[in-house]
Amino acid sequence: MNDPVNKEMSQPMQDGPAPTGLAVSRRRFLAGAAATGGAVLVASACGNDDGDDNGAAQPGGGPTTTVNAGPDLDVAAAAAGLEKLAFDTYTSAGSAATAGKPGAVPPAVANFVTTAASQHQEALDRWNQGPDGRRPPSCHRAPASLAPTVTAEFGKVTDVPGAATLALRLEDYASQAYQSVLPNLQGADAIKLAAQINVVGQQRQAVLRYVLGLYPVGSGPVKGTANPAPVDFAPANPRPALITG
Amino acid sequence: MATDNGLRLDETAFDVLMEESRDLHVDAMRTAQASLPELNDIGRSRGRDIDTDEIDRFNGARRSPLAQLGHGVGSASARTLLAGGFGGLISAILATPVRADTALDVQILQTASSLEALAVATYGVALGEGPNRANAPAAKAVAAITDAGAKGTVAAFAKETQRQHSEHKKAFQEQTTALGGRVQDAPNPKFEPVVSNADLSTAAKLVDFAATLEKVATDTCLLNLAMLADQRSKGIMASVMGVEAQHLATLRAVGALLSANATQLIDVPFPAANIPRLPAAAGSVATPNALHAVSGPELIAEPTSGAIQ
Repeated sequence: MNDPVNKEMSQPMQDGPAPTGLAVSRRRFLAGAAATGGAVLVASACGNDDGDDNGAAQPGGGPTTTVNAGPDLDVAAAAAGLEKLAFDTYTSAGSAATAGKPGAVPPAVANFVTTAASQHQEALDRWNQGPDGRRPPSCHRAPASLAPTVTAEFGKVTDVPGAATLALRLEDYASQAYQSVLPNLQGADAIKLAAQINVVGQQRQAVLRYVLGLYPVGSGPVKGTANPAPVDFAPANPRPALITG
Repeated sequence: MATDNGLRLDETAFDVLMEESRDLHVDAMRTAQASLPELNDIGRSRGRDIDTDEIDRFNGARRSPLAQLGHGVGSASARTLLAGGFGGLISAILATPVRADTALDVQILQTASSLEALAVATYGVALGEGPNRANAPAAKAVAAITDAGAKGTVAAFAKETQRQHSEHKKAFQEQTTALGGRVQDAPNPKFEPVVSNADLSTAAKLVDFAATLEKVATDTCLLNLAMLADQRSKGIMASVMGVEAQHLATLRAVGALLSANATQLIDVPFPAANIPRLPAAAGSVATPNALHAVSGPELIAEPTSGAIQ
């Protein structure tokens, strides 16, 4: 297992609209913070990291605000970003299917897309309630470092197997991220939530693998392209190849 | 590949698929191997005598989820949190005292070993490797699958899953030894009678029962994550949980196809031409909930259940 904290989860997540007009500063998740269990002063567990993290107020916002948040909250915000990315992708797939872009969509595939979108939405909502349901990270955007890659790959999809392959890469990416942070989470609620979501993500992979003609138990679409090095469950920054293959 | 109940499998196709698809399982096992030196250090530091302070720390850590949920505070909200779901489950599990002469992590690993041993034995019975060989109801149930492709797929899945459980058991046993504990090689005594008394006379019943066992394993791993203290042990438990979850998903899907009399759709590698023939339910049967629903205490292997007495 890569030590100490999932690097994917450490990737910046673009924070959503500041609900109260407060600006939040931006930060990179501190690798190792969760492992040490120490309190981390962060400005936002859901910020991006696009170079303007200089303490300045963001456009339209007030002064930079810092809050005292634990590492589990940082993970919660990062996880919410990943769930948003997956939700957006499945929603786009559903819209494309309705428009007939990939041709006739088999009923099982249509049901899978609808179910997966709904489940990722629920996972997003749960993370945004905070691991304990009381401290909302309020992350409502997909990771800026990954969303363009996924969007570009989605634009290349022309048929159902292509869509399923992209979905499998995305699920695999998320599963590896969860797998990596699980040992480092501190609170029972966060552990439970991450594990419950990860189990279902692994299971969606099994279904996708089966439909794609692969053995259902495994990781990623094809060995050697989509998978990171063995034991290294933590995708490096930001490893778009995991999405593009 | 030939199984003891006489099934002949398409070795080439399955071998290729399994070889390229073992990553998740292989990753779990490599993680386990990598953790052994560190666990050996922990085991050596404990010495021959159990450190009672350490037991206290473990038990304290074990109770911390309850503390976070307000256990002992007595507030109405705390009682509500503990009344059901995860809090209630943890509360029920922790109601059973952990043996004071064995560290909690060792008990968890021994119990995990015992669940894997039970799974190995159960799949073995279905493969005709049990005491009754091909006459066992489970083996007969597999042999009675009329569609040759489905029969081969079910048998191959059982064989591969049995192998993975065997490796999980070995990994947990090595972790146990590294921590200075005694290796548990016997099936879990809480669930062994359940297996012995199960009606496995049809393929559908067999698959459903195997799914139940996989869910016990998945849920137990999930709860162990909240009780283990060592990060590497948590990592191994999380990795194994992922593999068991995929076993469970596959069995749910296969069970649904058996129940729908669509055995011709049980096929690995699955032909793309058959995708339109899959029933709509195939898209959701393996993942009924957005958050995996953990069973009650009766279907959890609590740490004491497989600990060596």
